[in-house]
Amino acid sequence: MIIKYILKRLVQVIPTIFGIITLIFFSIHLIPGDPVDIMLGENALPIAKMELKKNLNLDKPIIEQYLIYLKNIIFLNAGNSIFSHQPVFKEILARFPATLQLTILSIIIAIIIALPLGIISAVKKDSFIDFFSRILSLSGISIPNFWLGPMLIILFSIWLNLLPVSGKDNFLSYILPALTLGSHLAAVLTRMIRTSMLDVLKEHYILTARAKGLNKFVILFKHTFKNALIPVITIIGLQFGSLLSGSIIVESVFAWPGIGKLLITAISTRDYPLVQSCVLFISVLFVFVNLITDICYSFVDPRIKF
Amino acid sequence: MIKKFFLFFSFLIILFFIFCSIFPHLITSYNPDEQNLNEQLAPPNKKHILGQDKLGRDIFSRIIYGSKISIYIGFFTVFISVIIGTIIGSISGYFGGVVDNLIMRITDILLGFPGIILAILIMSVLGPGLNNIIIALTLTGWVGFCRLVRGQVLSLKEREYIVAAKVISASSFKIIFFHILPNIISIIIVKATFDVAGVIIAEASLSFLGLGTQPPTPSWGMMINESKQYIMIAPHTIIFPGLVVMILVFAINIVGDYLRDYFDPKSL
Repeated sequence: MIIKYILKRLVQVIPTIFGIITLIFFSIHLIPGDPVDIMLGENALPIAKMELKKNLNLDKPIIEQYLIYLKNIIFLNAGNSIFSHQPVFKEILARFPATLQLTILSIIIAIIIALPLGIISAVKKDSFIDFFSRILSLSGISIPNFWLGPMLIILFSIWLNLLPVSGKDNFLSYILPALTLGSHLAAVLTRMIRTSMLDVLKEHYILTARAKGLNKFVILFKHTFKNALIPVITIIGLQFGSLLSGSIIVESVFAWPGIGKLLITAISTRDYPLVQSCVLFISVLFVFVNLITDICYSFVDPRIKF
Repeated sequence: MIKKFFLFFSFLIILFFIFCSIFPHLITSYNPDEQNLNEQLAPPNKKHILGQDKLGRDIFSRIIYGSKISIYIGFFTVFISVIIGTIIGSISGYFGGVVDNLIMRITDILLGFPGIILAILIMSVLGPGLNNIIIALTLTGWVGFCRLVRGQVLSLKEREYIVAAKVISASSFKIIFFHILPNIISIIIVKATFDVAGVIIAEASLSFLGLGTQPPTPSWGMMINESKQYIMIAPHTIIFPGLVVMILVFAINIVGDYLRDYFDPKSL
């Protein structure tokens, strides 16, 4: 049954990925003017322009270009970067670990902040702590990453001189970027845990557990928390996408050598093959993470039918 | 009591920024583009209450004039997204079949790009500029409304009063426009409110990355972008523009929260 479900979801993903590739392919044709002129500059040597045009297959009819692009992507060959002349997928894979580390650490930080806050908020509903945590989570949703990052730098690096300003050298340099990236998730999770705990606390089986005279903590952690965790897992999966796109900003604030920084550098040097492939990589990753979240969801909650 | 106070205050903040975006010259007498190269990066002082930026321009008046971009893009983009999303979403939900399938696959593709990645891609090919930001953010924004409206239409169209309208042979347009849409407008308004906040952050983020508005137009995200290399010596050039983004977005989110509770606490 579950294998059938996984296969079904996998088949559903194919047209989406196909569409993403198509959209990314055609985006280069939205460039006003001649893409080659823009990539190399108007004053580039004609021979260099010709060569680039040939390398990017821009001299062929558009349908043929599209088919070549599709074929290349399927064989994981997205061409070379215009500037470094390295295969773009090689460059992306070299940067990917940094982004992945940052993302995972930010999820961990978000959970560490959100779990206690969400639980206390639900248990002491309408108390001062609840009010405080709701304001905090609303702030977390409202603070833009490109501002929180510099504020943390000013506080922890410049005034207190505790943590490095930017770069990726030792463990200390992970803290500020991960905290910045995780702030939004922490806020969303706190809210989610609170609502979901409140929902479960209303269930009949909690009343039964209370009537049996069970220990308060057993009820809270064994009966309530375990069941409240289901929507939380989904949220983490769904928020993975916003972490990926958030990392573009965080990486450019902290000069973090990940895919986001690579993408922004590629845009500023007009290295379109690299831009296209970065976007493709991040999007396909996102689609698959969503798929895995869906599948995990069905494992965690046996009540879900396929 | 505290909640009411917060709500009232949030309304005031939003109204204030809307006022600033229309009549910036009534709030500040400084020209936002006036350079004063003798007073570069000056900290807040009596003449310039929020200090001056790298070209000696008054930060306060740049923030006031910058509200134009945020308010305009925030409201206008969401407005177009609501219209496009509602039309396509109700067609998709009401008629179903092949059209619905096709529209849903298209939204699947657009939702396959996380966050502002699609907007970044579009801005990188179209180049910076006000209209391009609106195009890029609408392209990502309508999808959410389309999905929302479609879902609501699907659940409403089997209701008895819709069936009754069909029996008296009301046209599809009339049914959608007069019988279905009035019932889902509240949900659309709630989502639209949160989306204005989201679009304001997205525009500021794009401008921060250098892909949004072009200098010298004052915009909050770009002010931070222009000042980031002075973080050590002149933190005030970064603190204030970002603070305003946060205050405005915070206020809009509080109003959104209130509207959600007011209309229907469970639907979103």
